[in-house]
Amino acid sequence: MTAMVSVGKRTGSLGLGLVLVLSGAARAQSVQGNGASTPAPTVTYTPMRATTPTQAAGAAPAPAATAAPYSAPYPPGARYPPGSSAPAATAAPYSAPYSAPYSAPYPNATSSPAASLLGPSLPPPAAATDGLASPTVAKRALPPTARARGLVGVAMDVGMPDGLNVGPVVVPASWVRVGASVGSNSAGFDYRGSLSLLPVGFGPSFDFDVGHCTVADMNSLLGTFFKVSGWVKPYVQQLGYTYFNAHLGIEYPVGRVMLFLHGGYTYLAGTVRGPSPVVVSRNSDAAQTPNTTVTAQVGDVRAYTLSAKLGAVLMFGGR
Amino acid sequence: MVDAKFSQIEVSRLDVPVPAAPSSALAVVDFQFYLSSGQLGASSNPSNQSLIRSVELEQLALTAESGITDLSFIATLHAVAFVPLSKSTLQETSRQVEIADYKRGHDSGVGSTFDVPLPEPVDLLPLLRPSGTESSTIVVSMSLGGQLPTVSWTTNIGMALSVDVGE
Repeated sequence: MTAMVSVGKRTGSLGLGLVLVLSGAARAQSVQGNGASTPAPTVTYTPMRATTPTQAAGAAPAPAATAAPYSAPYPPGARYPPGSSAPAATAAPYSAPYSAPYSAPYPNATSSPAASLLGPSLPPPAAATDGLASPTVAKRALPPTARARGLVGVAMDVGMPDGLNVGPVVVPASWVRVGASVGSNSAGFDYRGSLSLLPVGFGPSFDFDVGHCTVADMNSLLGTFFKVSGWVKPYVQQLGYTYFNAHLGIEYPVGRVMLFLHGGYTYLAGTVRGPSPVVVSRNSDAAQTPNTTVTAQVGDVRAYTLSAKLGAVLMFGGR
Repeated sequence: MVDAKFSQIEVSRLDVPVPAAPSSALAVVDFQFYLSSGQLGASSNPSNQSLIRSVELEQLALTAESGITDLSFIATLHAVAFVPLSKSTLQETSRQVEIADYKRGHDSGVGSTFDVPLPEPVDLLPLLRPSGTESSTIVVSMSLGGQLPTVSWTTNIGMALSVDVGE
């Protein structure tokens, strides 16, 4: 006769049991009913394994975990309870070129209560420890900074009071760009020097320009961008100015091109000339001869005004 | 913000007729001329008035144009500028500024151009801020004293202004 007795729990991975086997040999050791001593039966204790897979300390990762494709630097799936939200972690955006261990933004699974119940933690895969060494992740995450695209380039922009300008730029580091340009504000010749600071190589920028527009007839241009009273216009026959821009900007890299939009304030100092007499009134005779004229000699003009420019930088060479 | 400063704006009033003196003895003759101040920035609109911050007369000169060639006969000159109540009547209002009060101290050759000494720049800003009922005109009234010509003559009046405008 064989009798089986199961002792213990069968829940989870800790289910244990003992099987008492009374074999024919054991029967041979049992006490006979007549009191005669017979050889003792043999008793064998066999540990019973749990029906659910159990990860022993130091054992190899579960096949399911090792077979899972590595899509993100997470610990193996065995560290997460069944049905846990590993995909949520994969959805986390990678927003900066971290050099710190990649696990920093994520909770430490080994310290969580759930992890303590799951047994000893497993070492992360090698790819997770060096994080961004994965070429796929690195190429997608690193922004194409200006320095990465080359040292020199050419910039073109249009704005006020700069006008349309074109010129070379030099990018000695990803966070700084200097340039010189020439152009026109549609009335006069313009030349300008520029300095742009990009703390992260793209995105926000701080921009400073110094430029000069030669003296030219800018009456119509002045009226376009400034509120000029009608009586003033005849006297502003020529205008030349030096300007200083202090702008905040946003720069967006597209391949070798850095698109930018800068806006801020401009201080402008210049010279106004009205060499031709302006007729203020005329005689009432038939000839309508002028009787009053006004001639505005050299005047000084200063202005603080909002300003902006839109442009692009095309970089040569680089990675 | 725009600020423009003109240190020298020349306003020329041409061919101003001056009547003949009744005799060759010491005499005084009065004459007037007007300037259209609308083209000089005058406005009754307060917002436009604020654009002009300063207008000062720096220099006043008379140049003989016809009838005479020398202005050395001028012994006294008194000039007042005012805003008339209306352009048709040129009636004087309280908005007036004395722009010159000259008395010759010693004999000196003047020639065809007489630069009227101005002890200091004259503020003309009140003349460019007429009220709604006043005209955008500036009338300059001059009185000349001395042994004046007994024939009528004409002169060109030149005024140098410094102007500060902005907004």
